[in-house]
Amino acid sequence: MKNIFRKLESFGYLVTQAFVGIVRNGALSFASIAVLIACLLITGSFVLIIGNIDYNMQDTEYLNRIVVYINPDCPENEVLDIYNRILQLENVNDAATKLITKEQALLEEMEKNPDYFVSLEEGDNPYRDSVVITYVDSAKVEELEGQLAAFPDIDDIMSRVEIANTVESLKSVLYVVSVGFFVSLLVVTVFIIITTIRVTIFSRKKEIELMDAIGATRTFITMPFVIEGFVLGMVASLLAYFAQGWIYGSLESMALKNYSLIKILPYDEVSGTILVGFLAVGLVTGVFGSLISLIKYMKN
Amino acid sequence: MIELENVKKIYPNGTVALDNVNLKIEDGEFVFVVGASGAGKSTLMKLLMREEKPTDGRIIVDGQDIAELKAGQIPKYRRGLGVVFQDFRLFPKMTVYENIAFAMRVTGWTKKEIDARVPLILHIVALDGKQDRYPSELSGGEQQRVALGRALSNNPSYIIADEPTGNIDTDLSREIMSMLIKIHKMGKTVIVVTHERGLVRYFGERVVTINGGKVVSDIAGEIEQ
Repeated sequence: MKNIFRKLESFGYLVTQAFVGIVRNGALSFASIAVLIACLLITGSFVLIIGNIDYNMQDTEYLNRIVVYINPDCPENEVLDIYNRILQLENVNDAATKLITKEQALLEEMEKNPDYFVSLEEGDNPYRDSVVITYVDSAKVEELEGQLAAFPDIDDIMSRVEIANTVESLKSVLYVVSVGFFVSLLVVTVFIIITTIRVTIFSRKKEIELMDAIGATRTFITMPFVIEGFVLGMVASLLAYFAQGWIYGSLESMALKNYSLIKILPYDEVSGTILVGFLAVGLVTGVFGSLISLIKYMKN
Repeated sequence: MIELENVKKIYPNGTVALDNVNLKIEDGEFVFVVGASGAGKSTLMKLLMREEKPTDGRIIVDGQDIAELKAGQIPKYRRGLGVVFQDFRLFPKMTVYENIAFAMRVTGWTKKEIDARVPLILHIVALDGKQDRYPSELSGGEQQRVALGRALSNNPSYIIADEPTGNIDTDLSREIMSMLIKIHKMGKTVIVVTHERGLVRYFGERVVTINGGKVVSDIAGEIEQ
């Protein structure tokens, strides 16, 4: 029991010394924390963007559809004829394929976003008749697109497959960019933490030499520096987490107010993962940076 | 007991710092180690503190060859030595009390134990009432007494003083030496490395003279002319 108390008291002393080091090198400590926060915020933001893209693409129905737009000069009876002919195509799911007339499209959009149409004059309609086609077999989408392209009055064919592929490509690019940013900033952060700890070791060189001479263990001598790195990492992680939440919350409110077409991933669903991720990076960066600084001292 | 058997120390640049040194220091002895600058005294200190390992030979302290100590065992060995440095090595921003307590703190004593022991140490080195002073407020002799107190704080078996009077004037040097004699009478083995032959002659203890890395004499109360 006495031994445990002794160890706890020693540990308390080491933690105190770690904070002494942080305060003593205030400027460098601040720089370490600031760069790590930037690193985490940028990475967290990219992760949330990718998460939101996935969230919006979750509706699988949206993905296995093709929308064809019919020439606006086509009379109503011919539009109906085109629709019926499309229903006859092999890869088309009759029950789920819908004709949306331009009047229906205008009404739907006016209900969603009335402000957009304030200046619209009587009789004006920017929309075209369209057929939303749900296909059965995604492997035969190209063939179906070819068949639809042969229809003379079909102006545009929008395939969700293309959109889905485009989105996947975009996600890959975002992923690569975010990894690039993350790695670059992480290297900078680790470098700054290494420098911070080295400066602390140098400023306490006499103290360290004396401790070594009078019989302090290597663990006792090095632990304050490891704790210092750990604290820097954890403080940065927690600050970044709260900042991320605040920024996302602000953007979420703005998006919901102005861009109701986009679904926003609720932050609560990912906040736990973000917190764990940030803490893990903070821990590894802080402790790793300290240990690299200490390796030279321990070798000597 | 400290025993050096055929100890040789050659540094990487080829300098032979110690050559075939044989020396035995019994428990409770008081020994001066004298010699000119470059004679090998500092190397002897470093070997005893296990900052260096001998190139050849053995150094046995209390039955253990310290050259064979693993890295993790060295701190425990050093706690058995109380080292007094020429430049005192006090922390200017710590009080007398804190400087003495520091050695105990970093070797795992609890606050309660430190608070119980430090006043005793202050009394031994005659610094009662000065525990709240800072080193800059003390004379050279008083600062060295703080360093002596710190060396004593872990209750070591050996006190090794490296030129303890090097930074103090002559009058105070005798005071420091008297303090070391007092500590010796408490039962500690005391080794004092010095080049001050006058001081050594005054106190008349055992004198080991090193010259050119070799022990050239080992006499009680006299030095080589």
